[in-house]
Parts: sequence; structure tokens; C-alpha cells
Amino acid sequence: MSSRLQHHAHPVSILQNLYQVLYLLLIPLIRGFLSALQGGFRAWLSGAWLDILVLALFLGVGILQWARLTFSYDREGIHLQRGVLYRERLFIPMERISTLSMLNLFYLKPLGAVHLRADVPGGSHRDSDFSLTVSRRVAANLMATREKARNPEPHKAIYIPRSVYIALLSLFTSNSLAGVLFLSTLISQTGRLLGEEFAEGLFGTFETLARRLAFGIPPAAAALGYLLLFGYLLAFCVSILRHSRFLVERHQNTMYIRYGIITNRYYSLGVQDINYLDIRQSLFAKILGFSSVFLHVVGYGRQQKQEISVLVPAGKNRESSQIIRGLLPHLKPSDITIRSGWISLPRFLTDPAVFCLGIPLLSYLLALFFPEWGDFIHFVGWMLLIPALWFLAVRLVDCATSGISKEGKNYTIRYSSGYYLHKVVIPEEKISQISLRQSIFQRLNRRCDLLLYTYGEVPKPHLVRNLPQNQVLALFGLHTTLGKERRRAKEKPSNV
Amino acid sequence: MQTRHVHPRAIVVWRMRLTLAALVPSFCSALFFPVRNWIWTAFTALWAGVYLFLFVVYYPIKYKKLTFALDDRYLVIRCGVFYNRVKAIPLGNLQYMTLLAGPLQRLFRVCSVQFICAGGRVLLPCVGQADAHTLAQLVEGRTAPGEEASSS
Repeated sequence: MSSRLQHHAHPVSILQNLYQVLYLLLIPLIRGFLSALQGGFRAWLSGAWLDILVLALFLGVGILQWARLTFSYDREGIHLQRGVLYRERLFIPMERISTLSMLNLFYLKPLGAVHLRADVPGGSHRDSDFSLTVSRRVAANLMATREKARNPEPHKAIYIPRSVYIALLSLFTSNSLAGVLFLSTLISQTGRLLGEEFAEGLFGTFETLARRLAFGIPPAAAALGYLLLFGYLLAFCVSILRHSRFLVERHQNTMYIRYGIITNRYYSLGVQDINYLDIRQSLFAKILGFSSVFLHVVGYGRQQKQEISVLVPAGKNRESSQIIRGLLPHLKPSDITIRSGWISLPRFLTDPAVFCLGIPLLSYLLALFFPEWGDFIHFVGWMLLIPALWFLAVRLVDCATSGISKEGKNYTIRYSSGYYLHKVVIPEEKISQISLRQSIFQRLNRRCDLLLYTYGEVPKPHLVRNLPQNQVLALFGLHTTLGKERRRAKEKPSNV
Repeated sequence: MQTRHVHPRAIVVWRMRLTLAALVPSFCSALFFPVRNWIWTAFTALWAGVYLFLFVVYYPIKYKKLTFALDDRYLVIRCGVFYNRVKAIPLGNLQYMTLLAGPLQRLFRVCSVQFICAGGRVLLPCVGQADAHTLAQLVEGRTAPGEEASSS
């Protein structure tokens, strides 16, 4: 018999459990429908006992599931038992938890409940290994228990970014699609509540506005442009609300990150569990001398649409470096020693060149086949050419800066992915696979692409293009293995 | 463990698997094109061309280039036909390995070895059973790295 104090989930979990057995409500629904067809109200009333029984069963399942779920915690870990017919026992050692997070969702605040999640390096990459709605007091105690277990000393450093940096982060990370999706959901839901006429009225107003504000451009293109702009602004505002009151606190072995106004998020990350540090810049941020710093830890930023695994939302390059030195001195980036160099320019420009040449060609051909849509096609073609040229500029900068180096036990790599330039610091022990890829053209000048895979639940390759092969092999200590291999292969390839 | 090729029977296994897969397009060309027209000719030429290319060119090159080696730090796999690839897995980060064998592989007494790392997996196809077990032993640390597997 365990002496640890057993806890239940918060009673609001009963409602969350009911969601899983919602199908039971089909029985009274179908019965009501059949009664209405056959006998009317009297026939329905005579069988009402069945509905009451089903509803009781419906509620009973939820309550039973809640009652059968208990958990306890101590310095060793979290113990959990659950299940009515199928019993499940779970133990998560405290030292294995890479991220313990507490989400204080706005609709749970009046009930004093929070959503508690624990993640270990393993298991499903979609869901947390442990996820429960518990009372705020219990969650705070669990967090404090982990803190005591990991950090005998008080905090070492605190970082609170300026509000303008939160705005910059939102500026760079917001995307139109999220805003447009949010907007369309909002309008359709409003339409459902206030009547379809209201939603249609909103769409109609938007159409009229788009026509009036077209200013010479095709109205359909104007509508698309305004929709994207509005979506972006909306996503920007949501992001600012989400990341306000950002605070990072570094303790001996743990790092605490908290942010949010409406929904408060609170994370406790193991410093040794950080897989890599990513200093990210868009081209615009690079020109202005700004950068954002992101962390990769299993469990932090899990819900990609709502959470960002940020450490420094934005800051001047020097400022970001100082913050990294203060919070994570063991993950200081080093200067690149092995570079791709300008000799690699064709390798870097191939992809953007396809877009830069392909888009005008495609729009020209489409306009030939559909002359009545000519204006629209040309307009969209020109508009699409702008991101293609931007991509070309990113790759030019990437060509000048990309490369790899090693200092102490950390590798620093610089590369670009999409429209972002990355400077990534990876501890040696967090590399799960090193892959070198060499095309026929790269064989001629002994160059190769490097794909570094890091620890995590999902394979995440970092691609550095066109590096000198021999230097890369030497950096990773692979030249000896492959040197022996080549010599032996020349002598006699051995088969089983 | 010195550099090794996968088992020579790998080519036979790959070719047999290819031949079995080729039954599908050949069946389709017979079923859907009862009259021999230009579409039938193009379709048949396409799949037969791909079949011949894989059978005669691709698989022999794949076999020739597919090697693996193990030292005290890394498991290194070299492969690739169009692209040369070197995959190095730090042994410290190797979580576990799995031996997989389908009916064809069992028939020819070979198996595939899948290496699971924290953040990826790598497949080494059609290794001889003796080599697979040696790999398993070396990876699990039962035998000191550097000892040679007995060739059969």
C-alpha cells in the first residue's frame, strides 16, 4: 500500500470524459426521431425511461472514469492508475521528464483547474506522455516537487523581454493562413448562432469593400490580398496576446518559461534535455540586425499551431548573444570554420532559380490559354515572383554564411530552411545520425550536403549544403573509419 | 568490424521482388488494353523499361555501393546509386535494433536490420544472418568492437 497522497483529476474532467462517450446520446436522439414519426409526444413520453437510463449511463461512465483515475507524485516520479474495465498503471520517473508544463486555459480559470502535461524523450510525438486536468494547487505542488528534486540552489538568471520584442516575434512568426482560418471559423460559427443571413451579410460587405478598394487591380486579386492581410493582422494580434508577459528563469538544472495573458502557459524544462539551440533570422531581421532564439526540448512547443518553442522572442544580435551566455552558457555558438563558400553558388541557387524562371513562364503560358483571365493571371504571376526573388536573396546570404564548426563538445551549423536563416548549436551527445549526401556534380569537386539528425520524437534533419567532404569527415572523426574502409575495400571486399 | 557488403543473395531477393511487382503492370496492360494501340505500347514500354533498368543496372550498382562498417564510435553505412550517401550513427545514441525478414528474405536466409536512434531510424537491407547477429552482439556490447564476425 502506497503512503503517497492519492489525488483525483479535477471534477471538470468528468465533462472531458463524457466527450469520449458522446455517441451514447445517439440512442435518445434516434428514439425521439422515430417517436416523432410514429406516435408523437405520448409515444415519446412512454419510452422516456430509456432516455433517462441512457443519460444516467452517460453520466455514470464519465463519473466512473474520473473516480477510477488517481495519481500521486513524489521526488521519484509520477504514479498514475486509471481505467474501469481495462486498468492501466503508469510511472514516469521525475528525472526522465524533459518538460513539465502547466496550461492555465481561460475557460478553466474560474474553476481553479489547469491542464498539466509531462513529456519524456520518447512515446508519441503528437500527445504528451502524461496529460491531466487537475486543480491549480495540486499542479503547483507537483511543479514545486520537481523543482526541489532538481534544483537545490536558488535561481541563477532571469530574462524578461521588452514588449516591442514580443511584437517583433509576432511580426515574424504570424502567418496569414492561421488568421484566415481563425476568421472563417469565427464567421461560420457566428452564422450558426445569429443566422446564416448575418454571415452572408458579412461576406457581402467584404465583397463590396474589396471591389471599392481594388484601385485598378482585378477585384478577385484585391479580395485575396485583403483577406491575407486581414488574416495576418488577426494572427499577429492573437500571437501578441499569447506571448505577452514572457519570462525565462534559469535555475541550476531547470529552466522555467512562462507567458500568456488570457491563457497562461508555464513550462519547466530540464537543461540537460535541450537538444539544440536555434538562432533564427528572416532576411529582414538579418538586415536590421535582429534575431530570435528557439529551443528544442521534447514537450516544449508541442502544439505547433498554438505554441512556439521560443527562448528569446527577438533582440539585437549582441543582446541575444548576451542572453544565451547568461541563460545557457554551455550552448554558446562558435565561429564557422568549414564553409560552403561562393564556389557553391550553383548548388544554392538551383531551387530559387526554378521558381524565378518557372513562375513568369507559367503565367505567360496560362495567359495564352485563358486570355479572358489574362489580367488576373499576370497580376498573380508578378505577386508570386516577389516571394521567389526573396527566396533567391535568402539563398544568396545562405551561400555566404553557411557552414559548420566545433568548439568543445558543441557543433555549430549555419544553414537556411525556407525563408529563415538558422544558426544551430547542437551538443555532440544529441546528434542521432550524421548523413552525407553527394550528387554526381558534387563528386567532381568532392563536396557533399550534410544532414545532421538530432534527438527528438520526430526525425529532424538540419541540412547544410555543399561542404568540403574531407573536412566534414575529419570534423566528425569519420575519416579514420572511412579511410580504413576504403583501404580494405581496395584490398578485397568481403562478403558473407 | 571491417567493411562488409550485404549478402550477395540480396541482388536475387531484390530482383525477385521486382519481378513479383512487375506482375501488376503486366496484368494491367493485359486487362485494360485488349486492343494494342499506342497507349498500350507506351505503357508497356514504360514499365518494361523501368523493369529492365532496375534489373540490369540499378540493383547491381546498389549492391556494389551498399557497405557497412562498425568501429568504437560509429556504425557507418555507405549506399546510394544516384547520390552517394554516408550514414553514421553514433553508437552511444543507438536505442535498439530490429531484425526483419519477409518470406523472400527467409527463403534466401537473409534479413534486414533496422537501427532505431532517438530521432530517426536507418535500414540496412538484406544482410546475411551471421552478420546480423554479429551486428546485434556488437551493438549490444556483448562482443568488443573490432572483433571480426566469422564469415560463412
